[in-house]
Amino acid sequence: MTTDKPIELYLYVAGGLPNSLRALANVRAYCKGAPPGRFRLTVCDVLEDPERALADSILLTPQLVAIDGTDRHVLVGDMTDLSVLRRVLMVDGAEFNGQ
Amino acid sequence: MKAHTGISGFDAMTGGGLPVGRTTLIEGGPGSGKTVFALQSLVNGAVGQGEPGIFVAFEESAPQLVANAESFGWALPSIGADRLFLIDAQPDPNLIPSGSFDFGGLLAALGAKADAMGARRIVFDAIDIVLALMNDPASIRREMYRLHNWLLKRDMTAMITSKQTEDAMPASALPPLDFLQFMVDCSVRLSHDIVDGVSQRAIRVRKYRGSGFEPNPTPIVIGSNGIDVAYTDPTAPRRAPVSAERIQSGVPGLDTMLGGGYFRGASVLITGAPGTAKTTLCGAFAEAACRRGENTLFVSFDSDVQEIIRNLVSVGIDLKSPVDAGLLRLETMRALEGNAETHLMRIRTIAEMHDAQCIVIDPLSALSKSGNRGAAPSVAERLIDWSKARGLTVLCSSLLAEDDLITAGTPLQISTIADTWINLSYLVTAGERNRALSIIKSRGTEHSNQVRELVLSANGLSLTDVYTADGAVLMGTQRWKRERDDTLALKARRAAADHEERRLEAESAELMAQIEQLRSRHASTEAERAALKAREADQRHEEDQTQMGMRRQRGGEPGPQNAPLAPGGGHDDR
Repeated sequence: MTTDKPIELYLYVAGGLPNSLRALANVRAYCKGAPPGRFRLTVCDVLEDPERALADSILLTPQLVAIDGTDRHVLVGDMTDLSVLRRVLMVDGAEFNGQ
Repeated sequence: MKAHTGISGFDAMTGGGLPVGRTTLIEGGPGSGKTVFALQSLVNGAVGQGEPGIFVAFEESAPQLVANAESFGWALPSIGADRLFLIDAQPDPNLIPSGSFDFGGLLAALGAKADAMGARRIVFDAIDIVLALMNDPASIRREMYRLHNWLLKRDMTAMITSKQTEDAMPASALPPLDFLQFMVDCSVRLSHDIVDGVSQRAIRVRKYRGSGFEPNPTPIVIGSNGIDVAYTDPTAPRRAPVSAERIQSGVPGLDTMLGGGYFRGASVLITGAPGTAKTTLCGAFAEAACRRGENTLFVSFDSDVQEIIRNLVSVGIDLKSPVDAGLLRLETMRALEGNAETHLMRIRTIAEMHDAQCIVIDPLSALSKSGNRGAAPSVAERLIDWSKARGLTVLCSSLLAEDDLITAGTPLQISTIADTWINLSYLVTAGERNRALSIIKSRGTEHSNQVRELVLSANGLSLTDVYTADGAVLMGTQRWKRERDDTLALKARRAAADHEERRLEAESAELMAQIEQLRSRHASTEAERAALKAREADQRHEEDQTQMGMRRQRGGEPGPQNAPLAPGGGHDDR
């Protein structure tokens, strides 16, 4: 599953709530470990943009929407266990420098 | 302060509705009407109370909800998103749980929306769906507190619906939801059970902080207008004033027996075995009501409308004309379709639509068919309560299996609350079966205590005085024979009297003739006597002249006239 196009990650967080802070840290760390250009992360704080949350039907936070070509994956939670994310995105661990 | 739900029975149970600015938990099994209850309250708040509301749907999509609401007559799109906002909050089916999450985003989005539209009410429908995604009780507890605090801070009247937290579910299945019970200020339980194959729904208020409430389960019906709670505040004043007006029963003789007819606004019960002409009496009443120009509803259980019209024509009752004129509404209901509550609600809805002043239910006992035996008496009682509150006159018939009034006379226990109770029965004598009518009771009216014979003919219904000879009531042929005998006796007596009169007349005439005869005889006798007297006077005068002449001839002095000759020659005048 190697394409030139990066996998789009949209992370919806609710300001400084602990779950959101943890998710942000975890996802950022995950992206950092990946080859450059593999992911493109966009963070949306629903406390600042609640209309966006309604429009995108994002009501549980933190929530991560990953768009890989035509595939769309939705994960909810603080991503403490990154293995779920890895499995979902089917990104082989070998590609990572870090974890 | 209560937030009216617009469900009048529920508002009556709780002294006004839901606690304002507080949270109410609505729980129940699948299909028990949780969503309908919440949506109805929200629609009423937005439309009737000027309180904009938000509906957060965790279980159904927005189009599904709109369609459901449509079936209850609530046109959500026309209310406007600024007054009623639907949020489709169904979790994405592909949602992958990956750690701990919260309602932070939801509440942020809701807060923005609530501020924008000035929402006063909010519904979280099927919260259990989203709580089920959190598989640790601590998270559930934390998020429920978060939600609760958010609601309190915003001072919104909230409803949270959830699947039942006990009874049907194993205690371990949803333990964290139990604490919802303790958190909320008001808790409502909806139930839906099947009793003998008939669905019975109920609502129960389990708790209501700071307010009195009706603690008993109360039947509900989910009908075409949403939820209807069968509860009326027993302390609420009856609206209709008690009327002294009499209205015709449609049977002239019966009006007389009742001292002028039924009271307007009364409840009348007609009991009787099959074939005792209960429906005919019902039809006569309906016809009379329509003739007075009163809108009338005739509910027939298990008998086709057209059949009733046809059958009643044979006894001179015309229901077709008032139906055509729009005065009479005939409705057939199948007793086995739906429960007693549903029927009551339909009757009330149709009666209100038709603006009926008189209601006929034939037979009311059909309500107590299978599965409804428990609910029917309360339904019958509430029907009468409801009609009394509106000043409607209700005539109910009730089938009696036997002619035993003590055991079978109160199949719905309405005989005690009915104002007038008329019983129809058969009297079998001399090989005949005749209908007898008697008034068992009639409150506030002088009424005949006599049993009358009810005679059906092509000209209509009539009541005939029965012969009570030798302590027995004579009917049918026996009565007819007795009537004929009496007529003959009367004729004979009259003839005899005429004869006697003529005889006396003749005798009197004869006596008068005799009197005339005597009078003329008397007159002639009188005349004869007068003639005699005159003759005698003439004669005496003549004799006197003669004597005086004789004395002068003899040379004597003329003596005193008429002096009798004294025998001694002297005359003493003393």
